[in-house]
Amino acid sequence: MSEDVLVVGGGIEGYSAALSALDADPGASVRLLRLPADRFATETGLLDVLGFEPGGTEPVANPLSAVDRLPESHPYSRLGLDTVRDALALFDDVAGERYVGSGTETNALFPTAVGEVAPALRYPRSVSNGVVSGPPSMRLVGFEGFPDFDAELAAERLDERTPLDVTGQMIDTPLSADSPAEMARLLDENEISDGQPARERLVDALEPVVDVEPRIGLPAALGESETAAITETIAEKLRVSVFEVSLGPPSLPGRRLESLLAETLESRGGELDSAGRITEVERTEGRIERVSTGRESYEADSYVLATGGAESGGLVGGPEDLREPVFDCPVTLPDRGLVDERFLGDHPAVRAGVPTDDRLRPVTSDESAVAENLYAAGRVLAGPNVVADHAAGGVGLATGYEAGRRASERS
Amino acid sequence: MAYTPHVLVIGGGVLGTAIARDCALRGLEVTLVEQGTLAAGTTGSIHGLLYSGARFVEENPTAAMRCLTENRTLREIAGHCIEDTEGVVLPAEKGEFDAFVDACEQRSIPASALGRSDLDEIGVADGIDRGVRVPDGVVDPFALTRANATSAENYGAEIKTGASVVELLTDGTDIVGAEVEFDQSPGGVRAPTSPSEDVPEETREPEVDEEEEEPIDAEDDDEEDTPGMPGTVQRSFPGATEDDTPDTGEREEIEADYVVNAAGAWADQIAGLAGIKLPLSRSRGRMVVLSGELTDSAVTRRSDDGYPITAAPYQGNTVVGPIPEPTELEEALAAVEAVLPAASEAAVLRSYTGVWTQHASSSASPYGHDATLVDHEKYDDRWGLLSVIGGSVTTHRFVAEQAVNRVCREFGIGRSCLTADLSLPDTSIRSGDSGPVLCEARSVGREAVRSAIDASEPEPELANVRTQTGATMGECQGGRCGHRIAAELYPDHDHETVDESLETLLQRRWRGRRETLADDQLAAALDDYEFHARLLGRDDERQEEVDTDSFDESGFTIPERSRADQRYRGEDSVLPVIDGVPRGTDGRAKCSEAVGQ
Ligand SMILES: Cc1cc2nc3c(=O)[nH]c(=O)nc-3n(C[C@H](O)[C@H](O)[C@H](O)COP(=O)(O)OP(=O)(O)OC[C@H]3O[C@@H](n4cnc5c(N)ncnc54)[C@H](O)[C@@H]3O)c2cc1C
Ligand SMILES: Cc1cc2nc3c(=O)[nH]c(=O)nc-3n(C[C@H](O)[C@H](O)[C@H](O)COP(=O)(O)OP(=O)(O)OC[C@H]3O[C@@H](n4cnc5c(N)ncnc54)[C@H](O)[C@@H]3O)c2cc1C
Repeated sequence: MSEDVLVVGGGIEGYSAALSALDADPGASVRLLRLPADRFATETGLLDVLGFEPGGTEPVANPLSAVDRLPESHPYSRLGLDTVRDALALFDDVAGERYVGSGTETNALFPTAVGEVAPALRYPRSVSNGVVSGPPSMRLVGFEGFPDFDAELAAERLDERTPLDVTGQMIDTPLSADSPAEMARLLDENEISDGQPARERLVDALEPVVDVEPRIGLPAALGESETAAITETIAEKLRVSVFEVSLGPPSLPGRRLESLLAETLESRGGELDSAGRITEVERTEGRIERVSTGRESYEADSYVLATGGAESGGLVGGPEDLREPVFDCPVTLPDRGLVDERFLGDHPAVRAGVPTDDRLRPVTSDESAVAENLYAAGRVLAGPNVVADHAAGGVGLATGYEAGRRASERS
Repeated sequence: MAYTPHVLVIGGGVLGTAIARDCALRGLEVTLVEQGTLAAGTTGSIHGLLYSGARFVEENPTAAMRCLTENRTLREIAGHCIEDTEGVVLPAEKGEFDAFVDACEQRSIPASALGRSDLDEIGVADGIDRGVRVPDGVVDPFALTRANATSAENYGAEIKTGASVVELLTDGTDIVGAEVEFDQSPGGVRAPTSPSEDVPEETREPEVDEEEEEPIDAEDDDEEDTPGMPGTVQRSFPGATEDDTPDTGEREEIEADYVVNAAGAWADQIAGLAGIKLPLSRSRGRMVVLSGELTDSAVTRRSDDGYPITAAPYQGNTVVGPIPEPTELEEALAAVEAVLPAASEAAVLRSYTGVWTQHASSSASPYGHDATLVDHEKYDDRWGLLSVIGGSVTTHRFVAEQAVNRVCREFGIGRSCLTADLSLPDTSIRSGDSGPVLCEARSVGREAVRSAIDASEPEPELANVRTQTGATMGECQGGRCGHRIAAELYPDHDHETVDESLETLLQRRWRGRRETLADDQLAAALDDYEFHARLLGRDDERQEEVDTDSFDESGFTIPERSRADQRYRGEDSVLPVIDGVPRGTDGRAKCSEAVGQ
């Protein structure tokens, strides 16, 4: 198969690269290899652009104005604010009504399943009523069968962490669903049991616990595809605002984001491919000519490496070193060892990755490009600890955007 | 008996708890103090083998036979702590095997020959053509220690955990008790000055006094007498939380007529508190946990030049070891793969290290686990303190019996030991399977976790959940289930306690996990980190309270005709509504004040 741009990897950076390449050149042929699968299972569905400055102890309200204070090596500093804004605009265009926050440069804060606070610049409509900076009190309602979300415990913490009044209550799991995914399926299909459709049964189960608070937070299990209709039903019948709290993995808001990106990519003419791992790479004179999975081979003018970091197999190895297994790009390690002494510490393996030139092309130790038509984006890049900084979404989006642009320029 | 001496036992390992039980069964008054939780020391970091004695039948036949006897006794009295896996011993690469088989026969250790087809079934690599089956087993050291403690309590002993001995009380020369300091911090136990920190590469220079201390097997003076009446006071089981739980940092002087030092690797520090020098020799052994049960027997390969390595099934995983220092992990794993090819597919979950401690007068080698009683009156002219060092989990009951015989003799009490005749109580948790599974790898449900939490004293102790249910010991080492388990502490404990417990749990699992991270395990560990840091938003170094003032709040919308809508926009409302959000006169957003007017 032959394309203009081949994106290897299906995380947010991969989709961003593919969509950006198409945005720059709508006639281009762009293919995305989803590799490895299920990169969105631990995604919250929230787009975190910069939640904390490196080492910071307070969430950042205006992530873009904080870029000035980031080190020069930070992807945002290297790409420049305009590129970050363009990337966000592309996201807003893709996400449309499904996401909230379009156009803003101010973070919003959301409750996590344990009652901590997570900042995001764009967020799904299903979670938007959960903003903890907004004033009305909230009630978290958890389901006994979903042990990731103890609503009473989360409420106590959140009540203390924020100026909000937060209460919590646990109830028996509605619909007798044994997992959030199962509940989502029952609600999507609005399956009838004992003569009553699933959504009605859920409303009945919630009715007794809705109290004075004008909004309720529920485990993110409100359908995978019909979330808007389901939340609306609850809101209308119980006359409260409803929001979801992300659970996981698998995280339904993460999955929904993936579907949104995948559907948009296909509707804009991109190709999605779930082929296996790339095992062979053919190069000549500083160019990648062809890659192959053993069964299928792909030839492209440009390639974007977007396979993720060590958490998703984009970097492999240990316990001393890491390598990049697809194109064998050199990898830099910021420190000795791959992990910190503390579980929640600043793990070198998260900051490790492929160094690039200003055009996001992986480089060797003498700063020359590994291949003139190879670009890299997202977690595979050497860079900051985007997990601790709550910046993984934005860095993926912006580096993907830039890599996609550059890759399409070549074609 | 007119006078009942009060015995204080220091150390809540398998040995200390057995000594307490034995004392209680003989009708003595006994208190046991443990700085951390039960089995938190060497006992909790063993391999888990119930030795048949075969592994050291040539080097130390006396100890081997002692193991065989105690192996049989423990199967009788503590069957619930033992899995009858049986053991398989394979020849070393070059070494002599016939002599070993003969030695087993000579000492009546059953060793039936295995053929290639048996070895196939066990999973042993081609090329190894011989082997024998021996009565090794797998013992759960946590359950055994708990059973000892519960039995002791049933007979009137008092067990205090989180109680660290900081002083020995003396009347000038004699030892008359100890002062303890309590640490009841949640999720953990007091971090002891880990003995492993100061273990020299090899062993300490043995400094033996003129007189040899008594190796236990040389002593054989059991006095037969009328058995003691079991105490009638029914104390609480470990777990019944008493209201008068001492606070962290609080101290207590415990007076005693006699003190038994069973502090294992810390025993020299205890003796040191009275200015007594107790020379110990120590060496370290490392264990590695591999995922999955690679074999259903405890498979031991004899070694040409050292201590044999065993791979044994333990609660769904396989524990390999002991790997003596300074052997590299890879080398040891290669040795295991050469015997059990399935090992090459298994993931390395974590590793942990145990410290062999023996009196310097016995050989420093782990062969045979020699045990020693040191009567400090005899050697140091200090009455009232007996140190008991060494032995093994397999032989601990016998060692305890010898120690308590000695204590009784000091007081002229001639009651015989009952510990081999009375079954140990089963303290394992039985629970229904209602409620969700919290630890998926080990299929541990909510009910089991709650029971384990309820059964720990005096404060929430998540280590107890691990040892009693096996939760957090699977692939994720707590990364995906720790927060669920810690949440079960709520609402009996506040969220700070939950946080602290979770922190301790994850940090301690991490210590064993981080050493072995590579490939899929590295990815899984980083994924777990991301789950906590990003999805759950946990970070212990961030501020407790978040100033939410300058953040975007436009996400909240009030549905038409909603309750909030009526409240906020209703006729009664005095608050102006801006962007769907009611504002106070200061223009600042208002929340619950608006409700219920
Ligand atoms: C057969 C067998 C199989 C096992 N399999 C597994 C397994 O798969 N996964 C697993 O996690 N564990 C396993 N264990 C448990 C393991 O042996 C130890 O109990 C565990 O590694 C102790 O780890 P830790 O993190 O609690 O203590 P470590 O951090 O390893 O410390 C070692 C010792 O030092 C002391 N210590 C250190 N820090 C502290 C502190 N903060 N507070 C109090 N005391 C402290 C304790 O006495 C502790 O036992 C197994 C044990 C056995 C016997
Ligand atoms: C690597 C290794 C593998 C082994 N494998 C096996 C095996 O497979 N099978 C077998 O039968 N045996 C095995 N053994 C032997 C066995 O582990 C030990 O013989 C046994 O656990 C020792 O128990 P203990 O009670 O004497 O010591 P410990 O379990 O160490 O108990 C001492 C206790 O004293 C406490 N303490 C210390 N200082 C204080 C203080 N100041 N105040 C209050 N409390 C204090 C400690 O916290 C600790 O809990 C192994 C040993 C090692 C090192």
